[in-house]
Amino acid sequence: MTLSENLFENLRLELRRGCLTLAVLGQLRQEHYGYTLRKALAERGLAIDESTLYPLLRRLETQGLLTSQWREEEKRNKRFYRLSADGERIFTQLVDEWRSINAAIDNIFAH
Amino acid sequence: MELLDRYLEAIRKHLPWKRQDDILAELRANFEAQLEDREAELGRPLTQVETEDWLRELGSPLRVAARYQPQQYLIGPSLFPIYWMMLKIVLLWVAIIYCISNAVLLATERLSWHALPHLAVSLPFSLLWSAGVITLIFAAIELVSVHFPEKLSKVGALHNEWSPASLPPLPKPQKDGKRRSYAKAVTEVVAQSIFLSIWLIMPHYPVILLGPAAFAVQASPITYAPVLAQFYWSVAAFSFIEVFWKAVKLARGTWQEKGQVQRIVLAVLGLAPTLLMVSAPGRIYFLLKQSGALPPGLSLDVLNQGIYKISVFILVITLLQLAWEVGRYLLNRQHQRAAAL
Repeated sequence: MTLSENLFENLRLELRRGCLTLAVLGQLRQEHYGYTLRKALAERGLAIDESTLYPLLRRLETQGLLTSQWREEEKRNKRFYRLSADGERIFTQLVDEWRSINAAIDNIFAH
Repeated sequence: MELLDRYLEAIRKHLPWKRQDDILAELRANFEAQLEDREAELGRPLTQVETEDWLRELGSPLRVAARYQPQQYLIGPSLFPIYWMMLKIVLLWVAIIYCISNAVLLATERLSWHALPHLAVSLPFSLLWSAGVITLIFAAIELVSVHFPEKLSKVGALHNEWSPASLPPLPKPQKDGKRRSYAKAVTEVVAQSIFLSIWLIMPHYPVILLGPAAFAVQASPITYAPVLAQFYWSVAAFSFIEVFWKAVKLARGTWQEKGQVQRIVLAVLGLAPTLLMVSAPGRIYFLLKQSGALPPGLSLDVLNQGIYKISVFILVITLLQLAWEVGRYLLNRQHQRAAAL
């Protein structure tokens, strides 16, 4: 990878990092377990590594934004996540913030 | 799937031990779901090679487990600036003290000159050891602040407690329009350290100060009065303080400031050696040795009086310098207050 490609890749990761939490919270308005969550995000255009997603889920749960429960499905124990009450509240605030940032960026690009 | 089991077991070893089972169970469920999807796409089980390629995509067990660690760095971003500053100060001082102490030991023949190459090679190890100790101390502080945040809640807020009013003034450029350079500041510290080393070695090698006359002085009937020993140590202490102050400014990155307060403090401290000389009991600086007698025509009184007059002259000059610095400082304060209004 050239220096320029490396720089772009680093900046791209930085840009994505801020969006992932919002994307995960948004997708968990419906219940998912890790693998289906990853698939759903990928189908909607946001591919995310397992090594990023699963620790992120743990962190969001520790922060009280998600709840989880183990359930058996298809003879396998799976951990299902969904938004908590706090998570829904924070998610709504983050969506407003996201829209505000989007509008500002669009404004900057327009000039 | 034996390879997946081995992969998960390898991840387990690096997970936080309290949550190993929970994290591993979740990883197993997700990885097995992924595996099923891949096998469903191919319409057959994965081969050994395909499984290895897939696990390689997931990442090494250490890397996968590392993301579940609560602390991802040895010294975090809030503590790092303080750590970096302390490291620079400590390393600078270790180097200075190492060089001065070994120079004195070499000069006083407590170390052989043959040890010089060994001393030169040992300095980097001393610096490395000091850096290791400082790093361990700050890593311990970081560990406590992560796991017991209530005990060190002020660590993260250290940078928030500062006042813009206490910011240092802008450095004035030199007369040629350039700012005081880093190289010049370093040279001053090194030169002053060398002076201090020479000053400390001098009693054992008076030839450094007096040249060949040192031998004549040693053979002469004259000896030093106690006040000269006090003068000697007061100059050493003053020089040490000056080197220390400059080294700290170098490490903190404020070497460009001349520092009016610093000049005043140093001028006050610089009075001490001269005051000692002026207030010497009986104004006696040199004495006759017990068994000595001066050659005809030479008088100790004349020598002592001469030294007294020189000391008074230096004292007056130093007091005038101090008055000048204090006057400038008060004038600047007045201008700053007027500008603020």
